[in-house]
Amino acid sequence: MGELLEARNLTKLYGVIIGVNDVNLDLQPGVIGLLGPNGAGKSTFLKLVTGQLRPTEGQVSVLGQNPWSNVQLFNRIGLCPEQDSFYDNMSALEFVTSLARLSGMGQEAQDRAEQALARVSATEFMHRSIGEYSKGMRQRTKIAQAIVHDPDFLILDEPLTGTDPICRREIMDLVTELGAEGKSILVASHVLHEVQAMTDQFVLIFGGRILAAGKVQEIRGLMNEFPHRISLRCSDPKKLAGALIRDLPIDGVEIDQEREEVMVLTKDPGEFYAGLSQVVLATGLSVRELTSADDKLEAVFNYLMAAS
Amino acid sequence: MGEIFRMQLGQILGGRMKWLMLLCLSLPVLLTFGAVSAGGVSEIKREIDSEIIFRNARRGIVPETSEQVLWKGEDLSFLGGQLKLTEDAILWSGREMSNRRATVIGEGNFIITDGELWIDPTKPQRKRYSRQSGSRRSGPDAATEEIQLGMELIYSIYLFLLYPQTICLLLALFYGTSVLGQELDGKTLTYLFTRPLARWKFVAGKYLGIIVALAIPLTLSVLASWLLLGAVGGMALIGSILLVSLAAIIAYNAIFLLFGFLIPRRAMIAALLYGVFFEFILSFVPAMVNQLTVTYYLRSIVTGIMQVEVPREISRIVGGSSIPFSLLALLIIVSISLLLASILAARKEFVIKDEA
Repeated sequence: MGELLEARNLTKLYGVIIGVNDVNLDLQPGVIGLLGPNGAGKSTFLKLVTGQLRPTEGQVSVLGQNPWSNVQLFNRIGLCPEQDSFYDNMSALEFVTSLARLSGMGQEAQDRAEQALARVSATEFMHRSIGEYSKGMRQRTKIAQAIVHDPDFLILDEPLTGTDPICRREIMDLVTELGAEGKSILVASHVLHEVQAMTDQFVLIFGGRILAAGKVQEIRGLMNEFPHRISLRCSDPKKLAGALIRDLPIDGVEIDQEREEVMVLTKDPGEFYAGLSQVVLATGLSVRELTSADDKLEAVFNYLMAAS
Repeated sequence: MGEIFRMQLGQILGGRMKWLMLLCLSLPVLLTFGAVSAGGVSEIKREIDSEIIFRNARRGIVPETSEQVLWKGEDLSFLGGQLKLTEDAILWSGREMSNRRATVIGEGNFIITDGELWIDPTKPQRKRYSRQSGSRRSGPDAATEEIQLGMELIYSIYLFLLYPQTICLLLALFYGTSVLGQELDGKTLTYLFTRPLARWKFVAGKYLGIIVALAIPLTLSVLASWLLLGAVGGMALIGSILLVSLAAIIAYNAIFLLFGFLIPRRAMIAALLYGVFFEFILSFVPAMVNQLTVTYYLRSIVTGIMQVEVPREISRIVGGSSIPFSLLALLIIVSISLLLASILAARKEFVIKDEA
């Protein structure tokens, strides 16, 4: 099997807004996570990959073919789009059967639709209209239509959004299973640990650029090189900042007098958190609020962006 | 293409859009019913009947069965309505007639009581007007037919303005323009455009779905309105109105579908402006431009089938093309629209706004 996906100077502009910026990427077949915060360009990238958008510059090829204006490629690609939209008066079975027919199936369309729906545990509700479904049921339906024609390359855009833990588990298992069957899968998500459970191959995208691509270990290492941001709020941020700098491993401090906030940068969050309570107690100040900005993927990506 | 067709049919007949269609198609029937029951139509009929009597009489047509009535030395014989003689005027159906107009001979049964002359309102026999034998023929039915034609014209103009010119345009405005917009707004286009389906099949399937979904209800609505009008004009009238109504949804939907692909999010406004400026205003401008409008050819077809003699100078406004040419012109309009829509569908980017 050749290359799964190849992008060369791939750029997409919407007017003056940059959707995807000069992306160069080579992906081999397998299960790959496309990780980036909301608005990072994931969806634009996937639309370019699935031929829904035409590149402003550069090119992309999927399974060795240019996806733009190439409807035959969709025999081999399955897409679970991000948007939670359906023909609400149809049932899941009707919906998936219709799309199976559009994939060129004849008599077997309904059987194949039933199989696909069974695979995502949707058999129970597949005769009810989609309008009545929960978010999880809708996600399952969306995945069923993406796999009904048994594509070689499955693209899932935020497949876990709004799902409950059981559904989440099942979808993750399905992805792993399909991967084991030899399918290539590109899973887009803005939540690191979700994707981590399905694959250790990652592509990080932010600001329309590919920041890194490779194994998760490499990326984690990369992330560790950048300081974590921790914000503390108390009545005397200057005094607190002084104490923190003196006693804890800190790489930088920003003080916002007005908001009564200290923003700490540290490369060693473990030791920082371990010693923090002692230091705060010693100052006699009371810290009202402590938040780690690093919980947000976006913050991490901002670091990576600055570094690249 | 079959599946897209089926889906479109289901969307129109199964979804919320069916109510819109029901409304569009029941309104004209209600309007016609209202006009008929409010007496508007019977008033027209009575006027026309009286006109028939006078015209026949003016030609000196006296059926053998009629009786001569003399008043102030002049012959008066009337049919249909009520004739009342006063000292110096003749009231016919309550309307005062001049002496000259009253100096006529008609046909009918007369009853004279207490110095008043009453005419039995027996209607003259109706006959289909035909151009070959009609207006130039003399005889008892010549004027009847002439007026009958006038009445048919009034009704066919009414039905034409109601259906091809308004309702069909409106239906196309709702359905044709929204073929793509609906899938874009509903964010469902992705499912269809990421399938191995040639885009022209998408266009064709959607288009045929609309036409088929609309054709039967539209036919029923036109028939209902026609029956309410008393099934006037026979097959030529209803046949031509049905034909142009169907031709109208076929043509307008194709044009508006193209609008949908040209400017998906503003298609409805563009189609509305087109409808008002092109199909209403420009179509009456006798300067070639009206020959670019759909209405012009629809009118040509109606006047052709009903064999209305349209004076040359008016035919440039109303529509003076032959039926085959008109059908060909519509076919060309439809083909070009669908072809362009298919090209756009294959070449243009259709951006679905992201969830975020």
